[in-house]
Amino acid sequence: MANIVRALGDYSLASYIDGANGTVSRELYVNPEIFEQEMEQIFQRCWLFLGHESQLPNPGDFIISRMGTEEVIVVRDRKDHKIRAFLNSCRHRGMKVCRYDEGNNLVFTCPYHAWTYDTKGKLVGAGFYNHPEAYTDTLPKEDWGLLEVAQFKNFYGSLWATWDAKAPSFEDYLGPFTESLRHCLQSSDGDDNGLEFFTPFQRHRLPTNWKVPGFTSVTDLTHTAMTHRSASAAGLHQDRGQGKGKATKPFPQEKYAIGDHLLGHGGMCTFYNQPGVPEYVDEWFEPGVDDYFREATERKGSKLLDQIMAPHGWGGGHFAIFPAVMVDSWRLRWYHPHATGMTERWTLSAADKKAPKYVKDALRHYSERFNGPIGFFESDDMENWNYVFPASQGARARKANYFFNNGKGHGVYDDRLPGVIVNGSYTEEAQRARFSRWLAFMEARSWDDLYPINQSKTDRIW
Amino acid sequence: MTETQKYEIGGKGGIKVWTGLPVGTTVTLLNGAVGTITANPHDGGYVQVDWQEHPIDPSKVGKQEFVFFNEVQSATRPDGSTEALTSIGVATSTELDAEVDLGSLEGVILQQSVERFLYKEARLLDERRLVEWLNLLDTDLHYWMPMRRNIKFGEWDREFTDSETEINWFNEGKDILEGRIRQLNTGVHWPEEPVSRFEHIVTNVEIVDVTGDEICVNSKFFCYQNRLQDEVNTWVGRREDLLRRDSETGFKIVKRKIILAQNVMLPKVVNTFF
Repeated sequence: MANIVRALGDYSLASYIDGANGTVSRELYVNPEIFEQEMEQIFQRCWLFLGHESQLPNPGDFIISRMGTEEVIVVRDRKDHKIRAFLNSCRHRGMKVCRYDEGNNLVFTCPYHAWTYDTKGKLVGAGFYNHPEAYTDTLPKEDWGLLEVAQFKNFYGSLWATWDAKAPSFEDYLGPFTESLRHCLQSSDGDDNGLEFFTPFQRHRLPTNWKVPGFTSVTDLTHTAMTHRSASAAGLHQDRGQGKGKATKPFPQEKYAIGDHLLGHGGMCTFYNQPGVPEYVDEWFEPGVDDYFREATERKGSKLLDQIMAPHGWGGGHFAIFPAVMVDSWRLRWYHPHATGMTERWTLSAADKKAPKYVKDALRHYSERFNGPIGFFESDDMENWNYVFPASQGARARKANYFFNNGKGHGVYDDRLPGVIVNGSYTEEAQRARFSRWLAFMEARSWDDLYPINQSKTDRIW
Repeated sequence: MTETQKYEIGGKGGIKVWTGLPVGTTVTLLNGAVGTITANPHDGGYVQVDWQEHPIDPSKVGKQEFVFFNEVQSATRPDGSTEALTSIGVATSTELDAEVDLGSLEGVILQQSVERFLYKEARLLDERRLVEWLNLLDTDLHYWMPMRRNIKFGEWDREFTDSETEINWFNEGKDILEGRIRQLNTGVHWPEEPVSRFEHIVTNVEIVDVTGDEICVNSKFFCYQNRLQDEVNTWVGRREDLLRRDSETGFKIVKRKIILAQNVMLPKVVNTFF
């Protein structure tokens, strides 16, 4: 076991998580050495979310995204039209080769010594390359392309990458959540890759550790009533409109907090107990929008006459993909670490590709007023997530543990999602699962120790 | 003259700025190669050239290559011009186009009354008189703060997010602002509890158009937030307002575009208005 915080004594990483009592050391959120190790052990290895193909429709289109603390260029090649991702750092001296948020490029030219790379990341020029007294035969261009991610996956339009060649396939990484993610990327009438995402990324800073929102904001139903007290008091509940509809036909379903302690994913989850879809319930105040969704839901139901829907987050709810992506059926939100106490939060919101403009507008405006630092709902979260950090950081405070015991031991395995523990909606099962996988990543020497899962080693530390 | 000397001389006196050279321009290199520009990445360094002649390496004829500006002797555009430095679209500012002569007494009074309106508006926000602030907004208000991209020089159209198709910071009417103020006035909106100390400073008030009862006015703001013991946030930017004369409040704000000088939103929460 790794011993990483010598100043505090010879503690192993495992000693930071007290499974018997359901607590986690605050060091995990405030210790810079742990943060540095996370960047290596977690963000260099995990599959991370980059964006969506609808952000780069044309050859040469690019966006700047992030993996951990680093920027990556995500670009659609001009020739083969495939999307690839590269570290945004010139191979020569490490300058950012691209400093625009997005655009369409023929080449990415470094403003320092004019090393220039094509949309496949290949080095195609350098300043003075042909000068008789310069590089001559000492710069083999084929060896000095931009650093490309080790694996890249376009999963039903969503773009993911890992720096680790030994990481399992994206589907194996998702495990039982593969179908859940696929479902969340469908249009509301059930077409695969049926969403387009509004540009650009919504990006804002949040002075806290990335795990505060990344681990503890998933299936955190006990926070809603108090944190969002003002939104409900002001009649701004999270419903898109006024929550005006009511279901008339019962649809058998079960709602849980779920945690995959083997893979780290989990969150809110609904299991559907009969084929088809629940009836659509009106929720929009903009005219015509409910009609669109009602018809789309009926079309989806007709495609699922004999098929039970994949379990996924309920309502506008979400499940999380380790380490820090939260997935809803209409948006993705994720957390980029900058430093121990600084996080950048990104959001992308979606609409059906085929939706008429008035439906897209309703979704877009809802997203604008709901999400992020100006969102009337999420601004409440920012305050709590922010001040967790300074109030946990002091010499006395950091010696205490966080309580993660809510519902521990009351969960059960459910065959509908193999390996996943289901528990009461208001429990912290999904949060515990993330710490289970966190510990596995932090102790592992490589992906050989992480996949296939060694159940006897990592299962149920709690 | 040696090859090296020719190269350096050509580099200093040759084509210095590439960005304006169109596809179809003929370039001649210092080494005698001649080609046609097939693409210009507007990166200040390179053009992509299709070779017609290449005395050093004839195998390159018919192939494409990226050429660094320092290697070029001369360039001739399809229209025959050879001037290298070309503007690719310098931004222009709005010209004053008012029905009222702003130098006249009527104009001075208008300027005064617009300024007093904007200062009062800022004061209402700072004194937490938010419901009174709402009363300065027209029922048809469009309140818009686009996001701002990092863009290339000349790509001015890409800078602001589109209020019709993209995600913006604020992009709403009076009804949504009323909801936000209901929330701020609950006393349990945690990012504003305890309440902040806001100071809005409004300056550079310029009337740019007057048509009947409608006045287009630009201004700048500096907004300082001091909160709890040591939380400080600042927002600096410009506004482009459409005001309409109003018998009760002097003016109503009909449109407001807020041009914030930020890319990533650096404060964690925006709990005031600009």
